[in-house]
Amino acid sequence: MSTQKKRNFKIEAFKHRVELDPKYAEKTWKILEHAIEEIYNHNASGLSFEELYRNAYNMVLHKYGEKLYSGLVTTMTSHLKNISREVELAQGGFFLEELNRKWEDHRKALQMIRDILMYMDRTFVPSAQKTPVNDLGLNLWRDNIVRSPKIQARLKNTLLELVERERTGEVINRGLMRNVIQMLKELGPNVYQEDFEKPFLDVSADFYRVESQKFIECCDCGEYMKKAERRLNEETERVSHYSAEASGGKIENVVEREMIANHMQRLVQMENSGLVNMLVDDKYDDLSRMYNLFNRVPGGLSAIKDVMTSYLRETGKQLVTDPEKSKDPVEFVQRLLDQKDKYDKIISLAFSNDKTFQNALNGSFEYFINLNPRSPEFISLFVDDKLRKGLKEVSEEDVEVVLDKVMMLFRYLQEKDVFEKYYKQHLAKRLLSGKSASDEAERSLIVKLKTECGYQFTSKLEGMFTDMRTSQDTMQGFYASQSSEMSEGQPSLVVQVLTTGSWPTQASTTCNLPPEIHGVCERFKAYYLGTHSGRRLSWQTSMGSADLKAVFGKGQKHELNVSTYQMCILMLFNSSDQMSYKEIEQATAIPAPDLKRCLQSLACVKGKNVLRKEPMSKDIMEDDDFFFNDRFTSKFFKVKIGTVAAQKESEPEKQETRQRVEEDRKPQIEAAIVRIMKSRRVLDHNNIVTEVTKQLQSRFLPNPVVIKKRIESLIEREFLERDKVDRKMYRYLA
Amino acid sequence: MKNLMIKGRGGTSDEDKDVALRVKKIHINSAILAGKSQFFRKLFSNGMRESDPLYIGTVRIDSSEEANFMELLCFMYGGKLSSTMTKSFVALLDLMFLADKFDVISCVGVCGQF
Repeated sequence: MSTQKKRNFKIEAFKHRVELDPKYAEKTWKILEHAIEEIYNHNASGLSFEELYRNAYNMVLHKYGEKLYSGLVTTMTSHLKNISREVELAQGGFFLEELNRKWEDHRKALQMIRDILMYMDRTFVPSAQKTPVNDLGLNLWRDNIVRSPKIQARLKNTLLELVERERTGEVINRGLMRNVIQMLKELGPNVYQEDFEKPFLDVSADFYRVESQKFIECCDCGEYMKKAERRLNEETERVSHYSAEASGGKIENVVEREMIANHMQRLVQMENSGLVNMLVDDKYDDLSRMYNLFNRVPGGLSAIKDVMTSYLRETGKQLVTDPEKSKDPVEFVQRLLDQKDKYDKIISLAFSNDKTFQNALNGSFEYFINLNPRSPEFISLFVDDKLRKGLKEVSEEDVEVVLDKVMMLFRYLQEKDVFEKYYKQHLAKRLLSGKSASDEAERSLIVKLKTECGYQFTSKLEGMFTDMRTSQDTMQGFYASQSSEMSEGQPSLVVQVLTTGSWPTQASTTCNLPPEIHGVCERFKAYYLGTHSGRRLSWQTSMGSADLKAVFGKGQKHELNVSTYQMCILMLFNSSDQMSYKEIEQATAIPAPDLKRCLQSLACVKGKNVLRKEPMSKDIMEDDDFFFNDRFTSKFFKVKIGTVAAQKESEPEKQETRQRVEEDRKPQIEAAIVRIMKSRRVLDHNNIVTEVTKQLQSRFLPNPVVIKKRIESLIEREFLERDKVDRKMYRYLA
Repeated sequence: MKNLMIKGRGGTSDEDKDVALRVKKIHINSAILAGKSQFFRKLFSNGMRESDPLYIGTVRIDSSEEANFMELLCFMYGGKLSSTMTKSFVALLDLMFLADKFDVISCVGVCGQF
């Protein structure tokens, strides 16, 4: 309770007094000024808030607001000047601590001063357009302490020195750092930027410029990347510890620029450890790090992409053009697939499935696959290898996976029609020799091709399957009708009736069939033409096969699986034991290259040499003699005698296929031209070429010269005409 | 809870001669007052003498303001003005004046509605 004595009080009118002691303002201010002193001296707990508030209130109420405000400015300024001197006196490391302590004091004091002057802040300050007390306190602190000539530079240098020390591995008082930076932030963005951020960034740039130079001289690429990544994380962490998050992005930019952007090309192309080595060695971690770091700088990813693309093209080119490597088509394609798998994996593991990288990969494959004109043939051979019945039993799923991968390569091909040609040939062989492993897989691939290239592309392939089915029925019908005339010991015949056009056309070079076979053939012909009038049958002896039962010298029996040609040759040895090359050629009328191949596989392959040749040598000469090999032995009952026929086409065959492809393209190009002209009526030459190319590119890339020739041919046949005025324009003639 | 002393003060404004005419001790809830008035919030919290929870704070007012001050306290608790108050324009004006002094914004607003 108050110690003051109680008195009676008079009741006054509620008018507020106007008459005042002339010294009233001065006296009241003195009380407040003293209180401010006490607050700075940590004696606030002895002050009465109510009294001080009331006094300040009264001063404002009695129009002494201006005096109160200016008094505050003067008092606080002089007080801060004293503080400034004290901070200046602080030695070395204590400087920052002293500054921080004084700052804490000032802030607390400022808070209290603001509280007691609350009324002034609320009424006088806005109407007199003064700075509010809190801001005033901060501004005065800024001007008298932080930016006082003796402190400003020292503060900056101290902070930067601490950062530098921390970067070189020392432990610093991060809390203090944080507080001081917090102070600069509270003094306004301008102060923070001018007095800390800008110099900080400048010094950091210098630091990292030097450091990155040092690193790049002595580190390999992977190591450098690790260091850069660590530095980057450190800086991010540092600014968050300093509570300087606002500068996070900027300092990261500095590190990115100095450590990555400035050394980008050198890093990527670093010898023995750069991007190429990482790709070769599948260094997913390093690649991923490189991707993430380079992603941060403009042009970073394209630097990686460019190097990757050119490396890919270079190695791809070597792969497809190396004659040594294209000897085995299956291996050739397998290598391509492996390459694709490798890069797919890299892109998904290290390059976060970046679309642009995938496009680069596809582009590169498209580029180099088409460098080798035999790629379509090889891919088809690869499929043939996978779909042919073989020793390797692979599950259906595995085949599916392989086929999907093959389709991917197929997509890269520009000359899809060439692939179709070969595919047809290989499929025909598979079907006719009954070596197709699985109908399912065959159809699956055809469906894939159909979705890729449309109905037209596969209609003939599907026709081949239909023929196979119909032939089965036909054979059943044939044997049903012949049952009475068929006798034991006669060779049984299986005929596949192939629709012309659906199957690869082979020059029908018939050979002389042995009389036993010839008879059955004739009967079949009669039967078939009897049921289907108006058709023509011609024998494709080059595509058939035969099973022969043979007895050798010591009485052992074998079943020989041979081609039709080989069968014709072997049948000759039923009547004589020795024949010359010329005799065989005359008797069978098999074309010379085929004959040589057949003889080679019959006489020169170890384990399958049912014939003996004189003189013994690897190659067949026109003056060689052949003998029935009495001493033939084999541990198998069934002996399959393959043709030595190279799987790959020989040079003249290749030329022939090429020519056929070119021939087939002509009508397609003409059809495209007519389609386009029909809808456009009038078009100039260049536009026709572009449109035709666009229409046909899903199958092949037409040669502009060929297009021009086709146009000329169409003009000759009066489908088109040249414009009379503009010779470059063509007009469609309906 | 806190004790609050209200001292009525008369005569001149000269602090030296300022003598309490009457002392009235009332119990108030500091949280409610702090919630309604910036003045009371700071009074109880800013670190000066009155922030000590054991210290009995004093608010000196002019004796003429006593009734209105009590009215203001009531308002801070209840959010309503007494009916006598609302009928007198002069009384309202004085209350508003006081509310402004102690920074009871809601009361200033309510006074202005009549």
